[in-house]
This record gives sequence, structure tokens and C-alpha cells, in this order.
Amino acid sequence: MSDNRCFHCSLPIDEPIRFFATINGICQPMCCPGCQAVAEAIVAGGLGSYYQHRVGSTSQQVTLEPVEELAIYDRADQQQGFVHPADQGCMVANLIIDGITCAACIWLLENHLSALHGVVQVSVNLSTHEAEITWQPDQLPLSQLLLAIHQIGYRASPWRADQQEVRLKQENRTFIRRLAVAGIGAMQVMMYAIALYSGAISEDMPALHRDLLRLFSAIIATPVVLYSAAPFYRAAWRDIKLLHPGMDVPVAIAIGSAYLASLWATFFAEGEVYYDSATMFTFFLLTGRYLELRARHATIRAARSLTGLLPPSCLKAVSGHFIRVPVTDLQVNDIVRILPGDTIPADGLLLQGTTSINEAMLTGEHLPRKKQSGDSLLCGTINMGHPVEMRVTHVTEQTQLAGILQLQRQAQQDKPAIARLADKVAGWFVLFVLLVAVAVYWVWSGIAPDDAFWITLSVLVITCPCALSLATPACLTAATGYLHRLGLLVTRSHLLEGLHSVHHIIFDKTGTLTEGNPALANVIVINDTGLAPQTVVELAAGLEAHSEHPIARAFATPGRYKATDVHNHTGQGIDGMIDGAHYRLGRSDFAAPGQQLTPPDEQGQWLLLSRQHQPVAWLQITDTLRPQAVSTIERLHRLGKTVTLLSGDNASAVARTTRMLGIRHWLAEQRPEQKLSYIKKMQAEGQQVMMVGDGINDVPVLAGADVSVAMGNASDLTRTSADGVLISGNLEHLADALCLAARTQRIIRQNLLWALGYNLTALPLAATGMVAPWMAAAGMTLSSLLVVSNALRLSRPPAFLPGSALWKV
Amino acid sequence: MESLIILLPLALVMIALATVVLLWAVDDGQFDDLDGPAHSILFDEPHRPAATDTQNKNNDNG
Repeated sequence: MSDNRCFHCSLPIDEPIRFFATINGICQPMCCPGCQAVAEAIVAGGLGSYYQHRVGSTSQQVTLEPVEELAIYDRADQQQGFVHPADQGCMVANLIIDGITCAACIWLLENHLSALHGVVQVSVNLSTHEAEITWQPDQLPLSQLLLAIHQIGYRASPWRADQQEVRLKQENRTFIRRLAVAGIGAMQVMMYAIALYSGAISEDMPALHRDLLRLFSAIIATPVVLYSAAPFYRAAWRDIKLLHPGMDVPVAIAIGSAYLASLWATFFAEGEVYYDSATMFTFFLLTGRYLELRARHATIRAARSLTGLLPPSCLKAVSGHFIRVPVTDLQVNDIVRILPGDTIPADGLLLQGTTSINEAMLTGEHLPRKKQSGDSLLCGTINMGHPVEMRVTHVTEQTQLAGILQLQRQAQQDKPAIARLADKVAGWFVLFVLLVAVAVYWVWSGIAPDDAFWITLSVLVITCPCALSLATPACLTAATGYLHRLGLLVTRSHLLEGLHSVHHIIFDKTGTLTEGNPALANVIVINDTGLAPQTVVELAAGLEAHSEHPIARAFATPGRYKATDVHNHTGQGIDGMIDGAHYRLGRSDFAAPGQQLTPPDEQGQWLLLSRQHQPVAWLQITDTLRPQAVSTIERLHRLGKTVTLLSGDNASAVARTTRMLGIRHWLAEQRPEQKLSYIKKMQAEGQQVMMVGDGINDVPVLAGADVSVAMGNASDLTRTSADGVLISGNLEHLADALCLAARTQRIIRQNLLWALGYNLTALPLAATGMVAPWMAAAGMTLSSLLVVSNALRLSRPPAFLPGSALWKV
Repeated sequence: MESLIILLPLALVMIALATVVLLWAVDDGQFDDLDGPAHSILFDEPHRPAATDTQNKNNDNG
């Protein structure tokens, strides 16, 4: 494989490099005309420094949407809901932008758009990918704005805020408010607490000052305990009602009892105050919860780009003419014309002609499929061949695409919950503490009835499960951060805990274990021509150098031959003149018309090369494996996991891949619902299943598996259904993640053991009234610190190398 | 130590002010995007003659 990579999208490029763009004065290689156009548009706008600031690579641009498709948005009725009037004749459009990967994208978009004549203000939100553009409609039509976004390689679609979005925003703001109140309050209370502690140690603080500091601490702590910590009480109350105590119950008891005990001490001047512990604890826990909330919101938001799968408009036949209408206007039995490169707007039947359709999005099969009149066309797939007409049979919610999404939602709901270790421990712990508290109260009310209430409260406070409730989140945060640096983004928090208990790992083939790009696999020269296979490849490369078809990428060898007079025949092949002879490359009936030739083998896709209409050689095109696929599968087997391949591809292609990878279990020609039922069967047998996939067809399975990982090149929808995204595309990191999950589990256990040990040692001391308040506070802090620093060990790369004996946890 | 009588309420007023300012910032949408603005200050403003023209025009008018 060549080391050339596209400067824009970082995909590998095969020799010879045919597309270049000059960026910041240097001529850079480009993989395709799409990337070239985007890079040139960026440079032409004076925004070349985007390439210095961006993080990671930009997504590949294969097609640029035609202008007339976007022109539909210039109609006032289509602007309803996402365009609003603003001051001085300006309009504000809310768009959602697909393809944003880092802050440099925001900079690029804002600067590129604000340079347009008529644009007043642009603001793009990096977290939500929403753009708010204020512009003057009399100077610039909306379609030009959208086109400008498309020119620099992003997809813009109208964004009509729904109720869910409003709720998410509200939830986010409320949480930051709680966090702000808790943070400011905790800082201030801590300052008073230092004064109180030093007074208690030196024993020379006047009672008046002490009471005054306590009173002000109480005033500041009250909003923290009543407002900021409210989510904990609510969650704890829900847990109690369900008789299923989780971590929130001890947390609520700890905060509540510490606050009440402190209030008692403040107003009756007996006992100690714990305002600092209560507020600090609230702040720390809220911080952890907030990070969780943000990750959750990010995944919910990613699901919105579903609308991006469908084109905004299509050509509908109205009394003999084709006019452009919004896709939402389509009805069953409408006749629609689909141009080459267009996305099919609804399910339907092909009326006349033949074409080839790329159904990769639904089936995972990357090679275009031939369609004849009467065949069904599926919504969301792409026409790669001729302009054709179709009769609509299903629209919007009835399409197969919508069906897959429905399946995904159901699978998500049925997903087996992974029991959290900390929650299990918490259930027992809370029961134990409550029993001890009752016992302490009962015993002390016999010995000294006046002190009983106060001692019981101090027991509850001392057993405050700070360390216990930090034990798991701290580990997960540290391990998640480490995985992120490896290139595996955790989008749902249960991924790490789930990975640990996985027995069975299921892979999709195309795009997951393979690169998803076609490559030349085999050349069979037909006997009587006497050409060397190398010459055949070079002849083919000479022809394909003129083709934009994905298959052309398979011909990597630099051509010795220059073809002239080349013609592309869509869905058929390519022909041209080389050294005075007429060559044809493509389907056998195209290359050698009139001759009934069958490919040497059923597997893969075979192209025929002919000279002067006489067959010369067969060329086989297949998909290449990812470089780490073989070693990763071997490592997974060594870790004792079962590996299965479930593919939508045909049986012979799947069998070939599994032979190369050493995978023993596989199933071919699987539809999404079959894949899902396979996983359900495995789960019914008590196995924990992990799914790794990339296509829309994997979406239901990703949602239904116990743990799932989507590849980095997957669509947004696929990423949303998965618990993690392998951004790096390096399969080795999956095996690394499994090892890390085992380490994480071990450190969580250590932490829980320590935290429980501390609490259980402190408990009898507190119950007998032997612990001074400052000692208790120091002990609490120390145990929390110990737990956190133990967890931080996970954020460092392991001291041993992959492949060494220690990795085999 | 009698200064405490003044200092404690003063501190209370100050943190109340800080909280009010923060809550205002939250409602103003300043916390809706926590990643973008952090990076955007690092990027140079592009050299754009068009933008300078508009500025000059504005200056002339003013």
C-alpha cells in the first residue's frame, strides 16, 4: 500500500496521484475531485490556516450537491420553522451542520460564511453543531448560503428545534446553575471551615465568633443542599419507591444528615458542624454527573442528523413535466425522476431502464447493484448509473429505512442492563448503615438519652460514603480519558464495565474488518492471448486512470500505457485506445459483446479486459482487510473470546474473509433483523455480546448488543446507536480496550475495598463517640484522595507493551 | 475581631453577586458551547480585504 494520503481527508491515495491542490504555497495531494474542490474553496477564501489548526482529519467529500437541489430552500413555504425575521430586514436561519469534527471547523465555517456579501452574523456551536446565521435575504438567497457551506465540505440541513432539544438545553442550563451554586458555596464554606477547625484545635476561639461563623456557613450551605443537591434526593426517593437502593440513597442520606446535624449544632450550640463536607461532596458529585450528562447529550444530538440521509427535494412528474418538490410532499404512486448521483427519496419501483444502485448504506455491500425495470429501489440509497424514473410505493415512516430505525429504537429499549458493581455494593451498604444507626440510637438511648440523637447523626455523617461513591466514577473517568487518547471514544458510560464481562464478539465485515474500498485481488489471463498478468494490470490502469468510479481506485500501479479516446459507460465499463488497439474493460457482456463468458469463480466481482472485442483477461476486485484485522482477531482469540462474523455480503466473499482472518464462526447474507435475532439468541443463552460495526444495517444490532462499538467512518446514526466509537479505525485498540477494562475492574474493586474498609473502621469509633470532628474530616478527605489517585493510575499508559505476557489479563 | 461583624455579611453579599453574575451568564447562553470559544481565540483572523473595506466605510460614516 502506498504511503500517500489525501491532505484534506487523510485517506490513502493510490499511485499515480491525479489530484492536487496548492495549500499555503505547497502543492498537496488529494484523493478525489471532491476533496480538491473543497480544499481549493477553502484556500480561495483565504482560510488556508484551517489546515494548521484542525485536529484529526476531515471527512471525505465525494459528491457536491447540485445547486438546484438546494434551491428548494429559497421558497418561503420551505423556510418555515427554521428561518425567522430579525431586525433591519435581516433573517435568521437555524441550520444543523454535518461534518464538524473540531474547533478549526467552526473557525472555517464562521470565517468563510461571514466573508459572503450579505451575511451579517454567523455563530456555530461546536458541541451541538447548530449554526445561527443572520443575513439579508435581498442580497443573498438562502440556497447560496447553503451552497457556500457545501463548498467547504460540510452538509447543512434545516434545523427546527423540537421539544426534545428545548428540554436538553434546559437540562444543561439547570445543571450548570446547580454546579455554579455548589461550587461558589463550597469554596466559601470551606474558608469558614478552616477558621473553625483552627479554632477547635487551638481551643481559644470565643464562642461568639464560632457561632457567627457557623451561622454564615449555614446561610451559604442552605442553597447548596436544598437546590444543588436536589437531583440526588429525587433519584434516592425514586430508588426507595422502587425498593432498589442505588448509590443515590447513601449520598442523599449523607448530605441530608450532615446538613441537619450541622443545623442542630448551629442553633442549639451542641455537637459539630459539617457544612464543608456536605457542600464539597455535593460539588464533587455534581461535577461527575455533569460530565456524564454532556456525554449523554452528545449522543442524543448525533441522532438528529437522520434527516441528512434524505435529499431535501426531488423531481416529481406533474402533468408530463418534472418539477422540483420537497421530499415531504411526495405521495404514494407519484412518479419521480432520479438523476445519477442522487439519493433516492422514498421506497419505490423502477419504471423503465436499467441502472446501478449503491445500497451500501442499507446492506453494507459496497459494490453497486444492478436494477432493472420492476425492481424495488430503497429510500436512502444512491443512483450510480443512468437517470431513471420510479413509482413511489412507500413514503417517510413506511420506508425500509424508517423500519430499521424503528428496529433500533426497540432494540435500545430491550437492551439488557449491565449491573453496576457500585450500585450493588451501595444497596447492601445503605441497609447496613441504617441498621447500625438504628442499633446505635437504641443502645445510646438506654445509656444517655440526651446524646442518642446527636451520636446517631454523627454515625451517619462519619459513614458518609464519599470515597465509596467516588470509587467507581473516578476509575471510569480516568480509563475513559485513556481510551479517548487511544482513539476509542466512549459515548455511554457502561461501555467499560460491559467490556469486562463480554464473552462473544461479533464483527461486521465490510468497512469494519475491511477497509470498505475495492482492491485488485486476482488476474487470470485467458490462455491464447499470451500477455503477462502485470501487463494486463497496467493496461487496465491506463484505462481506469480516466475513471471516477470507485473501482478505479483498485488500480494502484502507475500506468506504463496512456489511453486515449476514453469513454465511460455507466454501469458497463470503460473503453479507449492504447497503442492503436481498442480496449474495453468492464462487465463481460460489455467487453466482449455477443460472447457468453462466465467468470472463473463465483467469488468477488470480475471485470473482463478485451482487445478488439476479443477477451484478454479476467480481473477480480475485492475489498482489502484492515491492516490490524488479523493480529486483532488472534489477540481476541488468545483473550478467550468467541469471535463471529455477521455480514450482509454473499457467502463466498464472507467465507474468503473468515479464512484469511482465522474466524471459525460466520453467517452470510444477514439482514438487520436476522443479525438482531442472532444476538438475541446468544443473549438468551446467557452470553454477553459485543458488536463492532459501521453500516446503517448494523444499527439495530449495535443498539441491541450488550456492548457495541462503531467504526470511526460510520454514519452519525450508527455512531449514536453504539456505546463507543473507534475513531482511530485501528482494530488493535479494541483488544487494548478489553485489557484496560479488566484493569479498570480490578482497580474499582481495590477502591471499593478501601472505601468500605475506611467506613467500617470509622463506624465503631464514631458509634462510641471517640472521633473528634477534625479527625473525621481529615480521614474522609484522605480516603477520597487515595481512591482518586488510585484511579488516576488508569489514565497512564500501561508500563508494559502490547503482546507481552502481562497483557493477557 | 469585631471586624467579623462587617466582613462576614460583606462576603455574603459578594458571593451572592458572583452567583447572580454566573446565573446570568448561564441564561445568556455563554455555557451552551464549552469547547468552541476556548479554541477560537487561538486562531488568527484571516486576512480579508473585503472585511477591511466595510470597516473603513463604517469609520468614514462615523
